[in-house]
Amino acid sequence: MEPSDEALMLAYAGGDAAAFEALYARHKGPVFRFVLRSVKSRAEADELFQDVWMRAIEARARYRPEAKLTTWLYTIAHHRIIDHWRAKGLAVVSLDDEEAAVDEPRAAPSSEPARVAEAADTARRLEAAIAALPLAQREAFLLHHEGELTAAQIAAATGTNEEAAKSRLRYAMNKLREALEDDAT
Amino acid sequence: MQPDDEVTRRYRGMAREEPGAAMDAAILAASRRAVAPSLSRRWGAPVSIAAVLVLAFGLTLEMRHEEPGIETSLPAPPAALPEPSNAPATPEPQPAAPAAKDSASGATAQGIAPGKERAAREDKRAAPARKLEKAAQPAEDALHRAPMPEAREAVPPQAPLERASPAGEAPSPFPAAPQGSAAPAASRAAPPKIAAPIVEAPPSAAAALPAPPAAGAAPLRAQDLNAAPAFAPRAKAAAEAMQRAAPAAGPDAALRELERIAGLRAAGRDAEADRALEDFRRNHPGYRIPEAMWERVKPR
Repeated sequence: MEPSDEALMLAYAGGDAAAFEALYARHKGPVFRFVLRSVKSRAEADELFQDVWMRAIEARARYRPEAKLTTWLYTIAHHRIIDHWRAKGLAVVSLDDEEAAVDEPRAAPSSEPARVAEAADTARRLEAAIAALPLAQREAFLLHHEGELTAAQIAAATGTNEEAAKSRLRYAMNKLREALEDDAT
Repeated sequence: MQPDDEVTRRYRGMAREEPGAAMDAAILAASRRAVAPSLSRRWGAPVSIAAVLVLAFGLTLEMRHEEPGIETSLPAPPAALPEPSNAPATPEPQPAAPAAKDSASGATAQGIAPGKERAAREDKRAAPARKLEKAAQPAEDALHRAPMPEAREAVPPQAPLERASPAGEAPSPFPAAPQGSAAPAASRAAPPKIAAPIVEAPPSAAAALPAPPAAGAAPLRAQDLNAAPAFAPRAKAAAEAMQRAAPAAGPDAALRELERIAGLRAAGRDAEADRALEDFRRNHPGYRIPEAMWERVKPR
């Protein structure tokens, strides 16, 4: 039986470098894709991905096993992405009103889900549809599909309440579904 | 949420992007560095403890070696007092006290600081000398009180000291330290020598001599001289000079010689008396002839 993420992190905090290697092998892909689809640029994704893991390494002594490791790890990633967007001068998230919460620049007309559906490759269209989602919805979708976080864990990682997290996730799924349906028609 | 939703299924089928190998290597290396025990972290505490122990041991050894020096740094002035306090016990306080102080300060200057223990030790060693001093005191008093018209007339009470340090041919090279307390004490420590032939032999020469037997206090002085190497040659030279000054036969022979010269004068054999007087001065260069005797032997 493989050790849990939490046990691995505690072992690493105790000085076991191999525990971190196992942990990294488990989560490097999901975290990388979460970051990559959040910033839409491989170079930025590389930079942010490295920062996320460096912060995790530095914060290893503060990790408490009460929190699920993925929640803790994606919280770090979330904060780093927020910092990244703020550095670019973009407002990111409003927690109260779901529709008004999306302050980030809307996707360009060429990336609207309806236009994406016209693309030949479904995967690329889905990818474009995801990229066209508002940041909060995209984040909720990615945390659920890459990090396998529940609505409650998404809420914890993004600093919102569970209902808001569920709502964001629902909106994101509906939009993506619509985009795929448009492609089918 | 619907796990098997079309969106989810399609998303799973998308390209699975991964970080580059270089990125993996960089992050893993950073993770290893973060938990790798550094040399200073591993050996810091043991090395610090070892350093403290070595320093403590070294300081302890150093303090053991330098114990007298440490004592002197605190109570030096009071510790130097015991010697001067002995001096007033001697009958000649004026020359003795400065001499004792000189010797004490000289010893301090030489780094042989007299601490409390040292003072106590010296006190113990000097105790026999003081006892002998006390024992000799009645004898000396008797010497002064005894009805010895000739001796008293010939040797005034101040004579011993005056003759002990003549500024003439044989100046006493002693800086008065050995004479101040030790030598008189030693001379008085032999009452029979002084008291018995007192009529013929005035105590002047005996008091002037450095008293080789040096009973009681003499060993202490010798030790002090050894401890202060600067004094040793001077003391030796002084002793030699005093021995040269004192004729082999002692003061009795000098008086006998003077009596003989006086006899020659009285017999009118002035030439022989003159030669004898010259011989006498050669043999006794530091001897001061009393006035009464001088009237009898002076050249005519």
